[in-house]
Amino acid sequence: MSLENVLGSEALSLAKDLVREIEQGDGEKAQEIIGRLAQKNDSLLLQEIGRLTRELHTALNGFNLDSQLSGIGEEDFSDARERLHYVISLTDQAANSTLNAIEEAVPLCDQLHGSVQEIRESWERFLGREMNAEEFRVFSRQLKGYLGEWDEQIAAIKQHLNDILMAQDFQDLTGQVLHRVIELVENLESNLVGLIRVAGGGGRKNEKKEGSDIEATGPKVPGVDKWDTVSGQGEVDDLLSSLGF
Amino acid sequence: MKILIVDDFSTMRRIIKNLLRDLGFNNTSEADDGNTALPMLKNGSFDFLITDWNMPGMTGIDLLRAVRADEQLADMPVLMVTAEQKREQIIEAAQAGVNGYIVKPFTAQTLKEKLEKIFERVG
Repeated sequence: MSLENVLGSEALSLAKDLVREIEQGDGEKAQEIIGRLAQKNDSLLLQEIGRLTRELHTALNGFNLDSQLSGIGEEDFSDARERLHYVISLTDQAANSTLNAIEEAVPLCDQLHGSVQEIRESWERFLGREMNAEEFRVFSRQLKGYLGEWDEQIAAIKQHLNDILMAQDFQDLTGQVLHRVIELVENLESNLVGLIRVAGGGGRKNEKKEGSDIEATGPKVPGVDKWDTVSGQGEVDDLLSSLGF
Repeated sequence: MKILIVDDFSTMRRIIKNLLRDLGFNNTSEADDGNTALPMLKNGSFDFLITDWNMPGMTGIDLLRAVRADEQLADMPVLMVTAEQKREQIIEAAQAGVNGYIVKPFTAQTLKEKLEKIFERVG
């Protein structure tokens, strides 16, 4: 019921009386009618506020019993915090191992570059027939040494590139952890929308999604997830071989 | 040897693809979940499947079951590379007929060893 409707006919007749009294020049009566109108308005407002308060009270009580928020507790937020911290530490590790590999690979490239320059200079002198027999023997020994070094340096650079490749697995692992935090936030959002609906009059229970037989849970976050997990590839292999693998 | 790599994260697919290339396997394809992988497997004459577990759409365990249930694909070797590390999950995968199980994060060496072991057994 709206305020206007309730004011409706009675207010209209009071207003008509008011116009008539003013036209007739009766100030005292007009004043009295204005007073009555104002009073009517105030009491209606109070009634309306009272009704809203009662509804809100009922809704909040119902909400507590409804336990809509029970799915999300303080624990979940602390979990989410831990998960986000885990993401920070994984990204930190990945960035550091990438930077370490680069810092070790760059000097190797510089060494390779330097020794190639050195050999090129000698080679050009050899082609220009500026090298005597003794100098050539030295150059030949130098070249042999460098060929061995290059092999090692290239293998080491490749290993560092491989380390950089493997460090990128953080994106998958953190992505899975972040998806779980997003799920929590979405859950919270839908509960808050539920609260607004309940306060608006139409209560609605949250439906919990039916889980499939065996659910994927993503990477285990240390200190948060307490599942019975294996602690590495070695234990996976032991478990599988105990199953006859 | 034609290998299908299934993971919802493209970075992980690229890591596995690069590692496989390093091991001499150049013929690889990628899919981002079981629903895209299954039709590819049915049409694509693949010899080997490497799959993640946790993916939107069809998960890796469901893909494994679908492969084992398909007459044409039933004998295909399947290697799981996943962050799922609950004991019950590993047992579940073993019962569903997985040929190897690698937990993330893993090393290039682990991938090499598991592949070799599977080839040895499958022949």
